[in-house]
Amino acid sequence: MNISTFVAAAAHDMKNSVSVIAAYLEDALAQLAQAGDAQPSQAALSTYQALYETQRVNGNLVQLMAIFKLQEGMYPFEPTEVALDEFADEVLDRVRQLAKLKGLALVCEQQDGPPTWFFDHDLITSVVVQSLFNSVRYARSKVQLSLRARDAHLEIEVADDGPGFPDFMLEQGFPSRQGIDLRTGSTGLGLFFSRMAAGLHERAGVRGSTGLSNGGALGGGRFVITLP
Amino acid sequence: MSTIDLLRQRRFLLVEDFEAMRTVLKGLMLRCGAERVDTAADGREAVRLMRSNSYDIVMCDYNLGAGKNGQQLLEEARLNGWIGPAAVWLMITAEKTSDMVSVAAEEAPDDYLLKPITEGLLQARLLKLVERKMSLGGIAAAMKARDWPRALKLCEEQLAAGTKSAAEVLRLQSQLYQRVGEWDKARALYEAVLQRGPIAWAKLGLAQVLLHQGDQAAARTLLVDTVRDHPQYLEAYDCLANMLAEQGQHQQELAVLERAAAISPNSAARQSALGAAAMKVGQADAAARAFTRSIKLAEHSSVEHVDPFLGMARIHSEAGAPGEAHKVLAELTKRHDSPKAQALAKAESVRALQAAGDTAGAAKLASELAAMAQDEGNPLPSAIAMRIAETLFEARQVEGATSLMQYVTRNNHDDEALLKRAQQAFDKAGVGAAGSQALAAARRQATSAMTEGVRLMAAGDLGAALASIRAARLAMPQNTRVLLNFAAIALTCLERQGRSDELEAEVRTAIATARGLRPNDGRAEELAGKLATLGAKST
Repeated sequence: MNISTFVAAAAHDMKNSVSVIAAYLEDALAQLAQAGDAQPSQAALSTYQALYETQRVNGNLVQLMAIFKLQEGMYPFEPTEVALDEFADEVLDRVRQLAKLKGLALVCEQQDGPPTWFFDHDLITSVVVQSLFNSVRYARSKVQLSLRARDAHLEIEVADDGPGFPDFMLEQGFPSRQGIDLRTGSTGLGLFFSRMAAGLHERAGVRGSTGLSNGGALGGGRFVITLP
Repeated sequence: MSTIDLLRQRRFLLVEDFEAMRTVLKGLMLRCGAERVDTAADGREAVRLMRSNSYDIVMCDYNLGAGKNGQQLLEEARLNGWIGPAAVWLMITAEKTSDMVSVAAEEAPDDYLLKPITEGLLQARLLKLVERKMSLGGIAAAMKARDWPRALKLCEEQLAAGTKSAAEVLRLQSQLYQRVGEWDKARALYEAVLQRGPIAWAKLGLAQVLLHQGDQAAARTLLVDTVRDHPQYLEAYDCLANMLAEQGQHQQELAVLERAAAISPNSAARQSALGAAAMKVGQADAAARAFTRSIKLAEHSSVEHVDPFLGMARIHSEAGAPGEAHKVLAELTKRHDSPKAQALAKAESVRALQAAGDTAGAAKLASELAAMAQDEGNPLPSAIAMRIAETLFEARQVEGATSLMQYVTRNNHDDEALLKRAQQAFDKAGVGAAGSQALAAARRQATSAMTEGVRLMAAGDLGAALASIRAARLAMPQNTRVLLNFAAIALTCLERQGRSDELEAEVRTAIATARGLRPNDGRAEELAGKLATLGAKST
């Protein structure tokens, strides 16, 4: 048996545990909120921070499992017609509380965007949510999600006004698996996964892609996933 | 109505085996606005609750530990009517797997929710699903009542009103067109949907239309493309395998089913189909493995899975172990007590008796079975009678088999495909010539009964015409044309000779039986309309 089989099985099991931890933390937060203080208490702040970390772990596990399945040819890739306003609501909802707690403005730019698009809902949700978490982590005051059509493609952009991505990430584009930088805590998993997810989407011979840059609309980091 | 009220009035059932998760999820549901939430820790408890309560929304974990999983529970609940067509079923899962995506649209839950679940996510998803169900509920109810015209009308209304569930409505609409035989409309719809994107269900639908319209080559190309581009979409494999089976390409049929079973190894029906295909090419070992797995998988399912037992019994009989075959059949009849299961098990017993050298016993059971299938009060459907006859031929019970084949032919004298299949069974048994004579005689019996009725009508002897067609109806209780001719002649009698409650009841039953046999027969509708006018006129 291949070691990656154990990794996948363990990831599944860990994910169940993480789900329970996350649910307990949400529960605790709800109880703290009921206590009715105008300002969030220190306990609430700590709980939020813990919840945020579980979301990060969860996101990593989801991506690990998906990559494993994709490589085994067992990922249930299933593009469906997704209503983009609902999609935006759902992904923003995942980070809304954390953004509020950190005093960040969370905005959605969707004017002139198409009402629906065909893609694998779960895969792209995972990509965009991880990117939003990343932006919420580094932003100074604002995170923006934009959805727009460009040249018959859908562009989903996550931008912030933080310090931007470190040079090595921009230079290498997407780190090869040997190039994982353990010092910065960036494993490159998220980017590797994003590129893989985008590449699965194909229409009339054109595949999806991803891009990373600094100094976008908000002056900080900017991540874009383009879907045909 | 505010959105929260939409949830407050609903009855919820939460099915989750993990206690900590159950507590947390229930808390979430209450915070989302739910007020009436029951919980169950496993499938059995859920079944008990669903039988005694009527739930609007079921939130169910996919993995429920030992016993049924969430999907099996859902299928059972829908099959038994424990939840209505308007109920929302939300499946909770840690990750999406092939098994989930591969579920046929009719059997799928309304949505999947990936853990971890947050309050905002749950509330948004619940509201969306409740609204969608409210808009699609009418269509679902009409489809359940088999009222296709009404379902189609509702689809058109939804689309005209700019529904948010347009994709779903279009899928239903195209299926409905197929159901009522509007093949050109169905085709146009599928082609229009495919203009917008590579959508698996539209490709499959188009392939089905092409098959119906006789373009086998184009259908095959499209199906092969579909399974390549949407490897998880198992309905396409099933359709492709069926097509190959009909063309007699059993080796290729087996290859397609093997691929499908590798993607979704936990479907009892698919394992059973795999076993049947393996048998056709003489791979008894592979067939036995598939049948055994199918039987195991169906253990917790209340859906009737008869075929893997029959296949397994056949393998034992053919391997010279009739004792084992009888054991398997005993298990089958213990698990399923429907007339269909009992009759098919008996047919397979004939094979086992024959294999054990008990020719007299086999012949006795075969003739019992032939009589039972044709029982006036409770005849078996033609498709089942046909299968029994085929099994009897294989067990060399030509007499019983011939009698059954004649019965099937009398009742379906205008169904060319069925008659061809019957002739093939005679050919395989080495009695092709006698078979074609027997079938021709049965067919003549049906046609002459009808021409006789018409002749007597034309001669003005209404009473004799009615008596003649009534006798034909007794001999051919499942022949739709005889049934409808009977109804037509009887209606003429009623119109000319005055009303009779007894005869009207007979007409009503005949039309209902015909409708059950061929749901889309326009003539049945016409006659039902006449009967209704008759009642209205005289009151």
